[in-house]
Amino acid sequence: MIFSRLYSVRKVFLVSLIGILISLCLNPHVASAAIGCTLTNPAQDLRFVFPDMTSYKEDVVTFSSLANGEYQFKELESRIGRETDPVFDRIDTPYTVYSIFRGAEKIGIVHGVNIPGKGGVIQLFLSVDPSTRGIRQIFFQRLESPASKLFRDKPFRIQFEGLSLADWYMHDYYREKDPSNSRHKIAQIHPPKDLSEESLIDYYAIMQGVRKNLVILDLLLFQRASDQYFLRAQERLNEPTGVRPKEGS
Amino acid sequence: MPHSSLGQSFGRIILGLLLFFIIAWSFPPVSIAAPRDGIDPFTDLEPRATSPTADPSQEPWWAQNTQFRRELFLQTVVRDVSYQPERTENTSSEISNRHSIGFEWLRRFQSETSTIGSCDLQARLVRRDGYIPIISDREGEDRIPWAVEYHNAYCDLYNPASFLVGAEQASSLIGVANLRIGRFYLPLGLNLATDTHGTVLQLSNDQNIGFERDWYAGFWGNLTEYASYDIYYLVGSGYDFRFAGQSGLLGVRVGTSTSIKNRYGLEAGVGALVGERLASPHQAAIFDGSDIIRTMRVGPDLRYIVPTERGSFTLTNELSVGSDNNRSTVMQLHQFGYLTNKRQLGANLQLRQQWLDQGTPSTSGGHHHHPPTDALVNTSRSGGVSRSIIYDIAWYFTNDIANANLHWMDLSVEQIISSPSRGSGSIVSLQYYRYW
Repeated sequence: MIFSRLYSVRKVFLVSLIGILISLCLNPHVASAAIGCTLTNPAQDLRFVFPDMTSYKEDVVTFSSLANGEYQFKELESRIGRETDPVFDRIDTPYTVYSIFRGAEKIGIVHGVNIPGKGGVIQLFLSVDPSTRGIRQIFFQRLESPASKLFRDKPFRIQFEGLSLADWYMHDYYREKDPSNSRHKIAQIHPPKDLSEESLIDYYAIMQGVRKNLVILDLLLFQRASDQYFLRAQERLNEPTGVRPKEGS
Repeated sequence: MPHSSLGQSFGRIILGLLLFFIIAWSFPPVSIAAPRDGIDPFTDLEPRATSPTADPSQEPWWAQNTQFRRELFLQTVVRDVSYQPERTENTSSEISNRHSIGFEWLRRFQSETSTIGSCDLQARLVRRDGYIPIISDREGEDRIPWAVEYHNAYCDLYNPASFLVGAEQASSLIGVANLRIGRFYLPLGLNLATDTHGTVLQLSNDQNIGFERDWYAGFWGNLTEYASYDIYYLVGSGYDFRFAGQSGLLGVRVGTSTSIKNRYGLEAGVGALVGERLASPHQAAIFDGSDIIRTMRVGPDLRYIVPTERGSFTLTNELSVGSDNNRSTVMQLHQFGYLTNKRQLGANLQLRQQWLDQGTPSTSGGHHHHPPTDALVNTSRSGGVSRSIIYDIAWYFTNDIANANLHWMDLSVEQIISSPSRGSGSIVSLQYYRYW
């Protein structure tokens, strides 16, 4: 009697298991879920970027938690110039924003994003000035690339210092209409000298990651302060003779 | 005169025209008439001043900075073991199921300018049908058929010195001294450096100590940019929080920091446990019925990940030497793993071996409450060596590098070459896990 009961319980579980597996095979998308990007040792990493900090604070923000989250999330796609990654950027992705303080003064913001590279996921963090919204420093947590050392070296990373999201939005216009403009700062960024052709994929991924990181900060934190540059660039590009920006910027 | 006045008038006209052209040239072209492509369209835009503020207003206070994750785990185990000295009414199954649903709740606590601390609670409702003493479920024999289990249950207080002397005075200690209280991984081997949500094969502490988590209080943090430490007082009771005469354990581990891991793919450390612990049910028999085991362990650990264009290869090693109730013991685990670049397919091969001196059972080390069992007699037959080879293949539907979202199926085979407590033979396990 006990055995037959036990046997029937097992049968129920076995059938459930098979059911779950079949449903997964038929609909693999059900398995996908949002993935955030956090520092594994924030105290150490933030101290490295801000030696004079006295404290730091972590805030987890999602688009879904915003008042008009769905609308904002749709805007993300147009501003990064490509479809959002279904694994790393979803409306419920928990973005961790680190605020760094010296006393009561906020002296920096650090935020990371995941981007798929050739050798695996790249975790790219930006340290941003809270008043100018310009990049203070770019650094990597996880970077599985044959050219990892070249990307981590200062000569490559220093090229991004001082750039802001407005520069990326203006780049959309300058690239098509006025490539030699002296304000076309993004055109002045170059891959590391000895980078192999196969590692260019990681270079482009990093460029996309920097832009995505800045756009997310602008939408979640800075009340779209750089949006006027995006709207102006699109307006001029969409005039009759204009051309829409290419992907990959 | 007429000539001179005519000349003056002509001169004025020329001067007027000249001035007109000069003035006209000194102004930029009128934008309506000029081609727009020739103008920088951003010159009139000024950066807007903003203050960065996340807008969590849509979330109630209890949901802010909180992560809640669900967990589903299904496991079916089949064994073909020729000699099973541990067989009891509960462990006589040839097939067993362990299925659970659970959650993990992680909350950070903030002040205006700092993250003060965090708490983590992970619990499951588990259904077991039958029981087979597999390495990943050594504590499950007494939890048939239903049980509520907790796993992680701890709180961290970051930089507690700031509460005593103020944030600015204690700022040099950020990341250096954090307080942890609760139930978490032992500071021996790679457990503390491993988020086992994403680990398919177990590490060695379950077998070596009898449990991989314990109740404890102590400090953790960075020693230098390249080194970190953990130092705790552990209750030594494993799953249950209880004192039954044991003095507890002192646990210390010094290892490489996460910056070494991120930059070079290397994690390494040396850990030690010294003191007294309570015997887990499967250990009491081996130790002549002792409830309390005087424990000493020390040993290195290492994990090295080599990324290549064809996927990443991981070498994992844990080694510890020491004694249980004055009986020497050596535990070693060696594992070689592979994961594709898309992190969808993984495979591992693990060799684990524990040697326990069979000499004269100690009578000085512990309290004897259980009568000697057949298991003790049988132990000597296999010379005190437990040796297994485990291999597995895992398919990942989602495999987050931060282990925040996981979804996988795994088929593993453990070939028990010899084991005083488990005999020899094969154990096949099919697992399904989702954490989201």
